[in-house]
Amino acid sequence: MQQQFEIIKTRILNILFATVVVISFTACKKVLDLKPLDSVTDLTLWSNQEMVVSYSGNFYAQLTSGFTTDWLVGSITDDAAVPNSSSGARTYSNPTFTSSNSPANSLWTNRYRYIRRANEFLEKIDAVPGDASLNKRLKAEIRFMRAYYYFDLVQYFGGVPLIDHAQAETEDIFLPQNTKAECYTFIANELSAAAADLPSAYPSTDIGRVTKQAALALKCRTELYNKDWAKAAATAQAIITMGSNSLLSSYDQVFALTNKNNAEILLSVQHNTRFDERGHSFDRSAFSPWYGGKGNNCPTQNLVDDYEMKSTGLPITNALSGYDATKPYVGRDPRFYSTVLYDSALYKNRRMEMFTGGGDVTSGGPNGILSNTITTTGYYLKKFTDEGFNAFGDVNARSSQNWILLRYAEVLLNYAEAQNEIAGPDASVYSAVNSIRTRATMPALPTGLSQSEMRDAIRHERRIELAFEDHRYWDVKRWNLATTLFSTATNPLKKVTITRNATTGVKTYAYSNITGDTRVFLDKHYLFPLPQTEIVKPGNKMIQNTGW
Amino acid sequence: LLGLNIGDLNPDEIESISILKDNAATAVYGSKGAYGVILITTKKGKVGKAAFNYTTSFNWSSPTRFPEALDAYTYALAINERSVNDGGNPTYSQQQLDAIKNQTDPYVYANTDWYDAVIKKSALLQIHSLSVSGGNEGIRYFINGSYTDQKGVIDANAYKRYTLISNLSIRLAKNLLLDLQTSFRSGKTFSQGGPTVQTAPFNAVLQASPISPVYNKNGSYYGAFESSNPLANIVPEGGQTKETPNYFNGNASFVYNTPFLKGLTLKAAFNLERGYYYKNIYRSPVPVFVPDANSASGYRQTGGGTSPNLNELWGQSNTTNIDVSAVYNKTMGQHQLDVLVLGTQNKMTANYNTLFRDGLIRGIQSINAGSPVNQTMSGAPSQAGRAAFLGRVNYQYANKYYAEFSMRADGSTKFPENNRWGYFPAVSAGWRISRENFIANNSKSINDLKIRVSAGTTGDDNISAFTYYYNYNPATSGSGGSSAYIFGNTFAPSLSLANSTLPNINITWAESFMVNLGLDFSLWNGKLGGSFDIYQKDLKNMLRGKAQNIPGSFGIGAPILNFAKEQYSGFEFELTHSNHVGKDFSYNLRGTFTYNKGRVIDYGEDPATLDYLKAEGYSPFKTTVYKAAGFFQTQEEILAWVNQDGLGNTSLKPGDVKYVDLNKDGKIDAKDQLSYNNMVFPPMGFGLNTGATYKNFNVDIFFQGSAGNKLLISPPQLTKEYYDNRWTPETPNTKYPRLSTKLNNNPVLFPSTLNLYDGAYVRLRNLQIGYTISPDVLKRIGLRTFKVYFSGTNLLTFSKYKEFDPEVPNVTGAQSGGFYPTQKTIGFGIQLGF
Repeated sequence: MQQQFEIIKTRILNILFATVVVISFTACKKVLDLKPLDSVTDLTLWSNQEMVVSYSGNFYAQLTSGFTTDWLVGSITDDAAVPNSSSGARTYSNPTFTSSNSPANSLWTNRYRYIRRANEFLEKIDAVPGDASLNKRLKAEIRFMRAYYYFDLVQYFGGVPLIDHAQAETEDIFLPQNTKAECYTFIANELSAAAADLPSAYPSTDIGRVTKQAALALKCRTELYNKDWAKAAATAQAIITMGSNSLLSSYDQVFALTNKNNAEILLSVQHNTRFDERGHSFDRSAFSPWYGGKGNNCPTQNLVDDYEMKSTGLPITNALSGYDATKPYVGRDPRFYSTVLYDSALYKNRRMEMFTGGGDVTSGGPNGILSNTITTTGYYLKKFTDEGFNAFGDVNARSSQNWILLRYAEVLLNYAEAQNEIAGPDASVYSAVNSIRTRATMPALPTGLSQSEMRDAIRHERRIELAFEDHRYWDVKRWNLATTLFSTATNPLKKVTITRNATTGVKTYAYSNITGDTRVFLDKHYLFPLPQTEIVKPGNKMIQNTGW
Repeated sequence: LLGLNIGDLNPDEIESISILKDNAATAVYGSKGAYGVILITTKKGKVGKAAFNYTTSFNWSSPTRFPEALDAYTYALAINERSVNDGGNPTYSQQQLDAIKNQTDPYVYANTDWYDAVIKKSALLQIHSLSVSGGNEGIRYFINGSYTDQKGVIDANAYKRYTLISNLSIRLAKNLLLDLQTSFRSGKTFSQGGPTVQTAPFNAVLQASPISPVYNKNGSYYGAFESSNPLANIVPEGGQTKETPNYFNGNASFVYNTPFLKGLTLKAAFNLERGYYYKNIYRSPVPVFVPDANSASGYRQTGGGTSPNLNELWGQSNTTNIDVSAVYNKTMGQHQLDVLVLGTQNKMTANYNTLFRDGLIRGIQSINAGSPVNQTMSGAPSQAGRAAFLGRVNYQYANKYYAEFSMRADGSTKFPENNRWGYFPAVSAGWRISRENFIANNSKSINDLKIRVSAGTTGDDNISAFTYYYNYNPATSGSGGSSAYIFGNTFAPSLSLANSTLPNINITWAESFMVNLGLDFSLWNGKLGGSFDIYQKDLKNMLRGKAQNIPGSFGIGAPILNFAKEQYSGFEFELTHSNHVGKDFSYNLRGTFTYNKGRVIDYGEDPATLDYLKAEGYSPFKTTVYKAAGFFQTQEEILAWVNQDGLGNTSLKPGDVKYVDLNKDGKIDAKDQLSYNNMVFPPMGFGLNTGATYKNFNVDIFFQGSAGNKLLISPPQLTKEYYDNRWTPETPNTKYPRLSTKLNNNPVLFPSTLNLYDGAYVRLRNLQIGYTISPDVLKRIGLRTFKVYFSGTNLLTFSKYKEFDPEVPNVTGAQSGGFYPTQKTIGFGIQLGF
C-alpha cells in the first residue's frame, strides 16, 4: 500500500514536472515580445492627427529665446557689457576659440537634427488621417520652422548644405556648402510657400503659432540680409497692406508682461512662470544686484549717447540739441527711459543709486552684493524686465516674458532700409521711419536728407527702437562695420562715473573707457568656423570658413 | 541569485565565491556573463543540532591623501597675483593682507583649515551578524540576520543595512527536495546631494577660501563673501538625501531525482523578487551671515534664506525568474558523463513616480507642508525580458582526460523579432599529465600537473532597448524650454524623437570569442604551486555606429550595425608557496601578476581618418592630449610662436603654456593632439599575499599594485603644491603655469602632456592579525569557536604621484583631486561560534 502510494506520488510528480517544463518553455516567446510602455512608435504617431499636433510643439520649442541664456546678444555688441568676466558673453566678444571648441558648434548639430525631423514631418504629414486642412496648416508651420532653422545656420556659418528631404544613408550625404545667396533664396521661397497656407490669425487656443505675416516678416528679413532690396521692400509692403498688425500707441506696452502676443508682435517665443516648463531667469540675470540680479546686459555709454534729445530730435553732440551735460538724463528720447536704468531712475519704487558709493554699484551692503555683478558701465538694463519680480523670494520662481522674434516695427524699418536703397528717401521711407518716431513721441526726421543721411538715420533708428532685441549684432555684421564697431581698439566701450558731493548732493559725471573687457573682432569673425568634427570627416566636401 | 549586487550580500551568508572568466565556464550564464561571472554560493544548513555563529567587526576609516591647502596669507597673495596676472587689480589691499597675516580680526579675516572643519578624522563602520544552522534528515535550515552601520567622513553621510535570510532544505518525498530561500534586504543611505554626494564636500573644501571663518562671533555660520560655506552646506540640518531600497526575494527550487532513470535529476526553480525603492531629498539651506556694523543685530544674512524643498521618489520593481533544468549523471567504470539541459526566462516590470514641492514650512519634512505653486511630478513604467536555453555535455576519463561541449541560445528584447536569438557554442578540454604513468611512476615531486584549453562564444546585447525603430517619448517637461511649448498661453505636452541613431532593423547579437590556455601545477607537496593562463578575446560583430561616415547635416547619428571588432589579450601568472616549520609554524606566499591589453581592430574607419580621431590600433579607452613645450618666458617668444589663441597670441603672457603645432597648419586646435593608450585601466596588476600561522596566531599581509597607466591631472591652482611650483618671472623653470583664470592654461579645455603623470602605485591593501582560541579551552566555557583579529586596509601607499590618492575615479577628463579619496581603515573583529 505504502509502496503503491509512492508510485502514484511519483507519477503525479512526473506529470507535474513535465507540465512546468512545457509551460515555461512556451512562455519564452511572450517574455521577449515587449514594447516600451512610455513612448509611441512612428507608425502610431503618423496615424494619429492629435499626436502630430502635439509633436509640432517640439519644433516650436527649438525657436531661440534670448531669455534662456543669462546674457542677451546685445551684450556682445557695443550696446552693452556683462560685469562677470567668466560670463559666456566674453567667449564671443573676446573670441579665443577655435573650430574645435567654438560656441556655435552645438548649433550646427541641433539645427540639422531638427531640419531632418522637419523633413520627415513634411514627408509624412500629407498621409495623416483626419482634417486635411489641419494637415495643410501644420505642414506650412513646420516648413516655416525648417526655414527658420536654416536662417539661423546661415547667420552663424554663412552658406550651408541645403537638405530638403530626410536623407537615406545610401545617398550622397556629404555635400558641399551651398552659397549664402542660394541659402537665402531657398529660405525666402520656402517662407513664401509656407505663408500661402498659413492663416493670418488663430483661435485663442492656438495663439503663438506661426501666422502668414510671421512667415512674410522672416522672408522680408531674409531678403534684407541678402541685400535683395526690391523683394524685401515688396514683402514688407505686403505685410503693411494686410493690415493685420499695427504699432501700439506706447513703446512700453509692446514689451509689457500683461500685453503678450499684442498686435505689434508677429512671432514671439512663448514663456510661462513654471520652472519645469517654460519659465526663464531673465530678471535674475538682468536685475541690478541690489534687487538680487547678476547685473548682466549693462547698456554702455556708447548706446546712451546715441539717444537723441526729445525736443529737437538732434543727437547730443549737436550744440543745438538742448543737451545739458550737467543733467545728462533730462529730455532724452523717451525710449531711453524705457530701455536704460540710469542714476536716479525710479525703479521698484526706489531711485537707482549709480554714483560712487551708491547702493547699486557698491559690493557688500545689506544685499550682500558680489563685485562681479556690479555694472561696468554705470547703467543697468530696464527693457523687458519685470519690476514685479522678486529675485530674493522663491528660488524656483521664474520670469515669463515672451521673447520677441518678429515685430511690426522691424517690418517698417526693413521697408525703409530697402526702399531707401532702391529709390532713396522717398515719402514712403519717411513715412515708415516717422511712424515709429511718432509712436515714441519723437520729432519727425528732418526733410531733405540725402540717401546716405537717410541710411544713417535708419541705422540709428534700428539701434534705438530694436535695442537688445538681438538685431544690433547681426545688423552691424551685415553692414560690414563689425571690425570697427566691435573691437575695443577702434570703438572703446565707455562708462560713466558719477560722483556725488556729500554736502551739496550735486553730482558730476565723468566718462572713460571700460577696462578689463577687451573686445576683438577680426575679419574671420564675420562667420563662425564650421565645427572641426565635421571638417575632419573623411568624406567631407565642405570648405572651412576663411581664417579658421 | 542572478544579477545581485555583491555589496547587498552579507559576507556571513556566503559559503564560497568563485570567479569564472573563460567563455566555456561562463556559458551557463549567457550574455549576462559576457564580462565574466562571480559565482557566489550561499550557505545552507548542515545536519546536526543548532549551531550559532556571531561575527562582528569595527572599522575606523579616514581618507588616505588629499591636496594640501594654502594658509590664508599665502592664499591672499595667490589671489592677488592671479588677479594682477589676469589684467586686474589686486583683490586684497596691504591693510587687508596685514590683517590676514597677523590674524588681528579673525572673524573677518580668518585662517581656516576647511579640511579639518568639514571632514572628520575618522568614521566608524560596524557590522553585526548572527546566524543559526542545523537540521535533521527531513529539514535543514540556515538563518542569518545582520546589521551594518557605517558613518560617513562628513556627518550627513551614513549607511545602514538590515538583512534577514532563511535557507530551508526540505525533503518532500524520497526523491524530491525543496530548497526554499527567502530573503529581505533593507538599506538606508543618508547623504548630501544625491549621486555626487561623496565628491561634493571634498570639492568644496578644495575650493573654499581659508580667509573665510567657519563661524561668526555669535556662533552662526559665516557666509563666505564670494563663495559659500562648505560646512554650512553639508550639516544635516541643511537637509539630507535618504534612500531606502528594500528587496524581498523568494526562491523555491525543486530538485527531483527521478526514480525511473537513475542519475537523472530534474530541477525547477521559481524566483520572485519585489523591490521597493524610496528616496527623499530634503533641502533646507542653512542661513549664513557676515558681520555688518550697519545692522541692528551686527550681522547680515548673506545666504541660505530660501525656504526648504522636498523631492520624493517611489519606485517598485517586480522580477520573476523561472529556471527549468534536467541533469543526467552516468558513471561507467572510468568513464563519467554529465548532461545538462536548461531553460531560463526572466521578466521585469517597474515603474516610478516623483513629487516635488518647495516653499516648505521650515521644520516639517512633508510634501503637505509645501507650496503647490512650483510643484512637479513625473513618472513612467518600464519592462524588460530575457530567455535562454542551454545544453551541455561533460565527459571525463579516469580524472585524466576532460572534455566539455555546450550550446546556448539567448533571446533578447533589444533586437527585432527575426534577429532576436543568438546561438553560442563552447568547448573545453583538459589533460592531467601528472596522472600519466610516465610521470606518476617516475616523479614524486610532481603532485599535480594539468593543462587546460577552452574556446567559446558568448553574446552581448549591451545597447539601449528599442533602438531598431523610431520611438517618440512624451516631452511634458520643458526643462529649460527645450522640448515642449505653449499654445494659447497654455503649456502643451509634446513628443520628442528618442532615437539618437538611425534605426536599423538588422541588428542582432554581438559576439565575444575567447580562447584560454592554462597550466596548473603543484610540486613538492605544495611547496611550490601555481598556474599560468593566457587568453585572447575577440569581440566581433560589435554594435557600433560609423560616426565618421555620417556628417552632422544628416541630422541623426550613424545607425548601429553589427561590425566592430576589438581584441583583448593578456596573461595571468600565479605562484604559491606554503610550508610548515615545525608543528607550530606554517606560512604561505601567493604572488600574482596580470597583464591585459585591449585594442580596437575595426571601427570601420576610413584610412584618411586623422590620428587624433583614430581608434583602430589604439586602446578602446584612449585619450588625446595636446603636446606642451613648457612655458613662454618672454613676450618676444610669444609673438614668435605659432598663433595659439586665434588672435595672434595677443591674449597670452609669459608663464602661459606653450603648445606645439603638431600638424604645422599655423594654429593650435584639436588636430594637434597626441593619442595615449592606458589612460583609464592600468595594463599591469600585481599582488603579493603573505599568510603565516604560529600556534593560535595568524597574520595576513596583502600588497597590491598596478602600473603602466598615466593619470590626467588638473592640479587646483590655489593649493600648496601648485603655489610652490608655479611659474613666476623669478622661477621660470617649474611644474605649473602662472596663476591665471585664462583659458589657455585650462587643463580641462587643453589637456596637455604637462598634465600627464605616472599612475603606478603599490599599497598595503590589507593587513590582518588574528588569534584563535583553541577548541579545548573553548569547550570548557561552552563555546565552539572564538577568533579575534585586528585589521587594516590601505595603511601604506607608494606612488609616483603624491598629491592625492593614485586610485582616481574612472571619469573622463582631468582630475583635480576634489573626489572622495580611497579610505584607510583600521579595526578589529570577533568571530564566535556556540
